[in-house]
Amino acid sequence: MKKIFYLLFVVSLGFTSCKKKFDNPAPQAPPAVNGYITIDSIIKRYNVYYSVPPSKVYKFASDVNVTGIVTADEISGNLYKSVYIKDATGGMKINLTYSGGLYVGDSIRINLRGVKLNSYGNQIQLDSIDLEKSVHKISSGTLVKPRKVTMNQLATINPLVSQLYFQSELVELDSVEFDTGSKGVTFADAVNKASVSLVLYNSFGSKVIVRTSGYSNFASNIVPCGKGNIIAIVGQYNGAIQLTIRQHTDLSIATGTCPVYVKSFNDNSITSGGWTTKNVLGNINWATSNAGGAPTYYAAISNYISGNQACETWLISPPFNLTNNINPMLSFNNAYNYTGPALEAMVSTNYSGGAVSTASWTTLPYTASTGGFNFVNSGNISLNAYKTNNVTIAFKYSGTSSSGSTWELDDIAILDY
Amino acid sequence: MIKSTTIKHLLCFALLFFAGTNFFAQISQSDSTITDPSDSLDNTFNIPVFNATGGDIDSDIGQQESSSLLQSGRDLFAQFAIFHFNAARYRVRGYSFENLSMMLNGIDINSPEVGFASFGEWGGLYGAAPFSEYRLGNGASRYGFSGPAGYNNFDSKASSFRKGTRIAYGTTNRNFRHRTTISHSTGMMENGWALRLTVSNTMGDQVYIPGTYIQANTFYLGLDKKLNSKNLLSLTAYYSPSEIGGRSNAQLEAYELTNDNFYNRNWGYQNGKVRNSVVRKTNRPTFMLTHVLTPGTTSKLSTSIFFNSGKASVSGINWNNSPNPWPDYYRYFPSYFYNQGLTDQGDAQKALWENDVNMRQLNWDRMIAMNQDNVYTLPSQIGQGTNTTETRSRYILEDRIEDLKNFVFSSVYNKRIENLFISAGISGNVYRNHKYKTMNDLLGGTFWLDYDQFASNLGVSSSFQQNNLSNPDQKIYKGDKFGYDFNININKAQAWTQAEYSVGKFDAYAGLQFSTMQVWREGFVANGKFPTTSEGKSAVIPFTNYGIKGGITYKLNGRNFITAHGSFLTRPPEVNTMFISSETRNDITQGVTSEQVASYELSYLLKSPGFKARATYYNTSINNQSQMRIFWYDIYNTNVNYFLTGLNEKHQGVELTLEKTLFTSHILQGVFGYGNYYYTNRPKAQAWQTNNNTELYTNRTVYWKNYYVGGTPQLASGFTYKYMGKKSWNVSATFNYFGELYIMTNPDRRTEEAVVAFQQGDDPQINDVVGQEKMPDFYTVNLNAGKSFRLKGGKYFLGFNGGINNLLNNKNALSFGYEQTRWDIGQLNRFENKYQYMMGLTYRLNASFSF
Repeated sequence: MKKIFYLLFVVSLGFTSCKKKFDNPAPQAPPAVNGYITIDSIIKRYNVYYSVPPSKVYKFASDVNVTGIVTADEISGNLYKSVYIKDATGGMKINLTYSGGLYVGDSIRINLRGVKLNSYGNQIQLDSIDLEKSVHKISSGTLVKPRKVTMNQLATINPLVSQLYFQSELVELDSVEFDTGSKGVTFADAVNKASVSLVLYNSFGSKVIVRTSGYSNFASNIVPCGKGNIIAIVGQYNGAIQLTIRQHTDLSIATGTCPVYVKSFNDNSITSGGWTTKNVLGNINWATSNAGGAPTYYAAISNYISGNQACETWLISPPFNLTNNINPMLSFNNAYNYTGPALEAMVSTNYSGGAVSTASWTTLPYTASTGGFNFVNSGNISLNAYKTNNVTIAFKYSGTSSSGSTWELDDIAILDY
Repeated sequence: MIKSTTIKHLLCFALLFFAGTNFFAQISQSDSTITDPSDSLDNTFNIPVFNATGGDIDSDIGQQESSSLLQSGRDLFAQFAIFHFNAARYRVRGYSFENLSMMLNGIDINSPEVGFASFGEWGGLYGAAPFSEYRLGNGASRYGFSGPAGYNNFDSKASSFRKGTRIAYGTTNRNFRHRTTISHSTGMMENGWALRLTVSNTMGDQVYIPGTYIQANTFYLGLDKKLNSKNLLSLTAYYSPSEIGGRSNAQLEAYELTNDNFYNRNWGYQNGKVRNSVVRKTNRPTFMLTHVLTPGTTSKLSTSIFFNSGKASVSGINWNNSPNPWPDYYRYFPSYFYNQGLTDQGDAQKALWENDVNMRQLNWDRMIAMNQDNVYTLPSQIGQGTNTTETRSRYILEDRIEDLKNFVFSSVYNKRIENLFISAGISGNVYRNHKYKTMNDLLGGTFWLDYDQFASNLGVSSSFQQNNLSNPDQKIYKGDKFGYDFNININKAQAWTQAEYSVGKFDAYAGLQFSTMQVWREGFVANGKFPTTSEGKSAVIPFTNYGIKGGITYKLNGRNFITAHGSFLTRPPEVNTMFISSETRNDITQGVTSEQVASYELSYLLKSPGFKARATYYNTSINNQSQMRIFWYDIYNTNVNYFLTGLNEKHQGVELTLEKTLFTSHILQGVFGYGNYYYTNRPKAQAWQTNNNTELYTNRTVYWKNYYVGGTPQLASGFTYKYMGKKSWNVSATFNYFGELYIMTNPDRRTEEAVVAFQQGDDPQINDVVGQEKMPDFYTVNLNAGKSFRLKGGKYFLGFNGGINNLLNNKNALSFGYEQTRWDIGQLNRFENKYQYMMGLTYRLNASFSF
């Protein structure tokens, strides 16, 4: 019996072994190098190749490499399957075959064999890059400082490459502010995952579009209403320059005082939010439009339908309660073209729907457009005389059978500060 | 160093020749039916060590459906279920495992958290303590109050075993290759001591299913001391560490592409070696001390303390900001391209699947290469010196660990007073289960960041993605704890009593049980998503439950019996349904309350020499159930925790068994089981995002009434012809037929919201969404044979037996299927159902030598 116990004991010692062990394979060799190319040379190559419409997309056929530092990554979700890099000569958009793996500050080398060089909306890009096969990370953690530029400089063309000077570069803009229609809304439509374009102004009235993806992690954040700085990647979509924010912390814009109310027409609707239209004469009506390269929708009206038609059409706000406001003001953007009666801005404290003749209306003075479809701001029109609980704003458009302007309205806002 | 490992390997190797199961020996000696361990091990892949959450979600559904075959007994139907029906994943009466009370020396070892005893932990008992008493149904139990599936009590006391030594060896091509067992019992010796020792080893590598393996040992010590004629002390020490590389379920497309009905996605090559990613390890010793007091011949007081502690874990691939590494991800299937009309890409993908093993299996080398190239600096540290060496892993292998401490006190008193037999007991249970993740393998990278990547897409603040707010941006290295860290705590107390009374032609019994249970979560880290609700203790969830049961047996005569048994009981639901997301927060699920089980069965039994028969009708309602499942929700880029509450189901059916002996050596056996297992009402569904506190919906009606409970054949029948030779040999052939096998349905597809797009007219596509697939019937033929020798006048005993299952090698029988919870209303075939095929021809051979 002792023998048996001895056997049991020895056997139980032996049981504790027999485990699996796995070795890592030898590290993969990084992609081959046969010469280097700078970003400006890539852009020049693009210009030459596409100067005559080619039959095929340009594809690199050798092991030529480009190196750069990642300036924007996908972490916030505002970029997807793409990052931006820069070297001493410029910036470049990098499109990846799948998402993930490159981060801001990564110093990388890309073997361009098989990589396509093309553009999307005139923005040049290196396309279909397989991170596993083509990219080698040299190091990480390199800080790339954004270039401080003014809004007007964004449109500068670099004569050496006949492209935007700051295309795909990381830039910083000072003293900027979102337009009234952008203030207080969200950066993008996080529910429907739709991208949204916002308009950013500087103090000289220049503007640029900030476009944000509905997939970004700050899509549902509120656009700040004050002034400040912004860091962004410069892109373009056809003629228009677009800024892409890498992450929410790229904005250092004060929260500011947001408008009490904004009718921006950005939802492509005239009547949303309780707005109504009334035809006093004729059947000409207000409609939304984004014609003329506008980044967002506005409201427009014209009595010219194969000839001028006599009309009087009102655009009427929902009732506002201004009793608790300290210094309420009306502000809107307006533009017109062609000759005709001026658009009238009106206010009433006793309108309760129905025919406009049932209420008494007071005309409000405003700064009008100089014509030629030039949008100007109305100025801040005081509503201090109307601090009641039933304030209605209206815009009265008139045309005759022989004349009539096209009027455009946008960002009708009630401010209080 | 070299020498010691060589010795260890030699010992491992030597074991293959010196041991074996003592099961089959038991079978051939006593002709009792004890679970075939080779069959039971099938369950190793089906019964969870615990319910893993996160990661590999849908395949866990299959694994939650446990087979009720961790049981043994003399009943002919149970024998068929164990030996012949198990291959078809048959569950007796369709019951899930929590309906059966698993007991060790009268202590209930069902986990109070999940409701059942896991095979990974307790499977070794079959080798250590092969005598178990199994009673199916609502009958009387002198050990405790058992549910509708009855009880299975293992007796591990050393004094219960006869003196002797047994060496046994078994081999099979099912799920292990070698099993060796050595056991020795002294019996009760004159000095009042009894000792039993067992060691057992099971091993196998890719035996039937590619990529799977098993490495399991059992160490068992039973030590009894008879203090005097009235007092016995009994110690049991049981330790059964196991390591099992698991298999997966798969879509039919994967089986077709690989031309292998046993395709297993879980493995891949690492540096030329096969590596499995889903490895379950159990390492939980159990100690039990029992004192038995027998003051006279008519009464017994048995008092035990029981302590079970240690780790169980399952490994899983995790990844961050990288392509899905699973080969069967829906976008990697050719059908993904064909469905979009992209024939060329589909063909190319098909060729990859067919020709490139690294496409159809996990590609460890690729993951390692990607990790090795991912040099990374934390955003907050950019510009503070360039890091050129530390790489952030994009893919890792993590271990999800449950570190258990379970203490049980139990006392049972039995007393006979003439025709009356009284049993009563009390028990208390203190259960602390510590759950967390550790880093198993960084796969070539230097560190991993403890972020929730799905939350990082959401939060503007960088703290939102932190899994541990007190240690933000923590770099995780091998062996570090990360992810989540919390306890599930349970206190339970129970009292029960039962009276059995016998008068004339009647036996009757009645039982009563009362229990209380308190459950709470305790979080040890503050999670960035839920900074105020993740750390500290949750509210205590109280349960008060009771049960009553009773039965009567009418003895028409000595051979004919009629029995009627019934029970009604309430019991707590599975703990994972009680918390909205126990990994991260203390929030409690609304509407999760005790289940109600009402069950009865009526039987007629005939026991005459040469002919035995049983006919049973059973009817069981399991009402107010709660279920929890996790699935991926595209729109919100997150996992969703999905709960069903108030679910009712019914299990009713008939069982027939017949056994006829002809000319003393020919035995005919037939069993027939036909049931209806279906849902009887419309439960409510609620769903919560796991990456923030958003409730997606609550109180959504699931139109599940009259759907079948899937996952097991509802029809199983078998017929055996057995010949008993004169010189201790026997041979038998069995034909089995299975049918009424339904797929497990996805509740989310049986809602108004799911079919709202089709409501105009009688759109035939509605049926595609709400219909329930029935899988084809199938049959098997099995052969078994045995032979034993008594040598030297009975001093030595040598036994052999073996068998072939599925002799016709049918590899095309679908034995299990479920609908994925993730589904696409616009394209149902995007997330196809997953299935398992029954194994083809398998054999087992056992030899044992006892003296």
